[in-house]
Amino acid sequence: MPVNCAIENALLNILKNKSRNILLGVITFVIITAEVAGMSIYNASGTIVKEFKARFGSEVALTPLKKSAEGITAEQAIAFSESECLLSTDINSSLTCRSDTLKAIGQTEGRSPNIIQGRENYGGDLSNAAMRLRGGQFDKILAEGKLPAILTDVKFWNRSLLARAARPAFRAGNNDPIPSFKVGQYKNECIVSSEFAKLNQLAVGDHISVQAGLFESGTLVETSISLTIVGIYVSAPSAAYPASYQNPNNEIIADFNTVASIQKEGQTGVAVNATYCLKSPELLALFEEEIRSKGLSPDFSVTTDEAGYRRLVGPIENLNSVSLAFLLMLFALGVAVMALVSMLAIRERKYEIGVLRAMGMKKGQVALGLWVETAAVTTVCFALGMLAGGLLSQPISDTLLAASGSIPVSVSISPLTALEIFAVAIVLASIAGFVSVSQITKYEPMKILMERN
Amino acid sequence: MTCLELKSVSYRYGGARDLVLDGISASFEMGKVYAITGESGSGKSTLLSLMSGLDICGSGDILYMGKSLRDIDRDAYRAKSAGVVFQSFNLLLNSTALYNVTLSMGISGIPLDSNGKKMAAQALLEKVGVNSATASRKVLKLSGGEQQRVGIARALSHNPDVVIADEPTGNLDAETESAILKIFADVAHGDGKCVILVTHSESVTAMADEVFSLCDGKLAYGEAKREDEFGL
Repeated sequence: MPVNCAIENALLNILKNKSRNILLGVITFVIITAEVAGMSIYNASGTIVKEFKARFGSEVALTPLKKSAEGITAEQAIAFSESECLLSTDINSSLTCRSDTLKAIGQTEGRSPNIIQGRENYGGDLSNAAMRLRGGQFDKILAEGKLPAILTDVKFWNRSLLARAARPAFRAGNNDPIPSFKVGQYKNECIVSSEFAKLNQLAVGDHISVQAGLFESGTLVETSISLTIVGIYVSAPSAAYPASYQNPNNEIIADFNTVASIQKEGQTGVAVNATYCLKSPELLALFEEEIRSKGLSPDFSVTTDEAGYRRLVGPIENLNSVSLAFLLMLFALGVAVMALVSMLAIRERKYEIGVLRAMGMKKGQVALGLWVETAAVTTVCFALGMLAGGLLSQPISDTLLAASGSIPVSVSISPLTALEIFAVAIVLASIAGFVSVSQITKYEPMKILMERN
Repeated sequence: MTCLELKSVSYRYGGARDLVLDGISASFEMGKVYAITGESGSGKSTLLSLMSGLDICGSGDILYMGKSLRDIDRDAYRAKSAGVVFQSFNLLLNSTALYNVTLSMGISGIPLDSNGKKMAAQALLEKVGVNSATASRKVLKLSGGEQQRVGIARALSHNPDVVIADEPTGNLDAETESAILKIFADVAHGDGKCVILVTHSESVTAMADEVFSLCDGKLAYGEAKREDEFGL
């Protein structure tokens, strides 16, 4: 018997048995829609987890165990930051400074004391006259720009970001990403706020000189630093600060090395602050081992707030686990329902199978015909299910991401995933169908017909 | 020429102790009409299903053209060599009468295109008394007599060597019965095929060339003829 006869008969049967096929189709459609939506939820929650982990690294605390413990050096801070265990690093070097020629925003007029005198009376006049020379992420941020043009055009609306690790969020005014930075490119260069520049009538290209106090063998010595202004960033108007050096608009931002190198060997005074965030709290022991080998003193403990990290990331990870469980449950349910429905559908057609066998149709051709029917119905329902699931998945994902405060993510099922779902649906329907057909056709045709009749 | 040969055929249903058919032997030749009679439950339909390759006998053998049905492809035998008319018709209920016939042609591999099959099927259906309007209706909506005629047309559709029919005229009026019996006679005597009819009908046995009677699992030759002779 020609195979095309079995296939032709199967295709005609799809239309002849509309009610049954519509019922089968609706069930398949619901299962596939639920699968696609479930997969979208899982993908969205996966994105949330990834984003949360990226946003909230497990911060490492390097705590001195003795009062006499010396801080980490700039070289150490940089060496430690090169660890593979780290998600991000924030290194700052800072130094309070004053100037004979520049005024600080909020400075009491006419009072610019000698740095040594000011230091000896810390909290006194110096606080109103001081600026802060800050070196740190500037070496990443500043260097990413085509100075000076970009900085004068760029509005750093969130100044706190300047102290953050280099983030791709830094963009020029035209929203183009700022190109990457080369270490040491901006030695002795700085940027200042527009408010500070206006107060001191500074422009890009001007040279400024500030004085800072450093300790050497217990003695405070004043050091002069010359810098070239390479950029002026647009700043918001200053609020009131108790001390002028606390005003962010008074910060003269240079790169890390510029500030760190002010301090010569045997001197102290430049504060090096490093914040390290681990990719995961489990990496703490490995990170500690690495930084100890790079010279971290035993006088420092290395800890991380794992509980805090878990508090932040844990619920989102749970959401991801729950969505995975939901997806697997849907999948298992889908498998069971499709298998059951296919088996029932085949058993319901026992008489028809008996008639076809009595007419001389071979078992394989009967099975092929039934499979073609199932595959055709499944294909149509798969297409509709994918469409409905695709339409549902974005709102579901948006709702989930909005609830978690994450950025919106475009959720879509990849062609490969779609193919996998389709393959699974076809395989399930085929297995269920073939099991039933093989059970029925193992009998002689007369027996099938007699049972049915 | 012997078409079908039964050799000590025995059969019992699964789980049953008694044999339904007990060592039956008989020969059926091409060009003849055979009638098999017997009381209800005597095993006539069982014998028919064995001869049409729908089931296999427990012991003994059935030979088609000298070859055991055990050894040949019984699906191909049913599709091409045997035409079976079932007592309960066994038609595809959700399909039209015409489709039941054309599908049978398709399964047997008759070398006709779709239109050719439809035309041949329609001609056959009209021959057994099913007009084109009835032929295009679903079997489910046909009367018992119409379904029986569709079953007969289907059995003849692929021009089989042997036609095996179980009560083929049981649902027909006298006029149609006569027409159908004439068709069977033409198939046997005109086309040289072997026609085996299981029946209770006297008119069927009357037109048969040879009559067998099935009783207590045994097949006896010629009893019905003798009954006819005695006016029973």
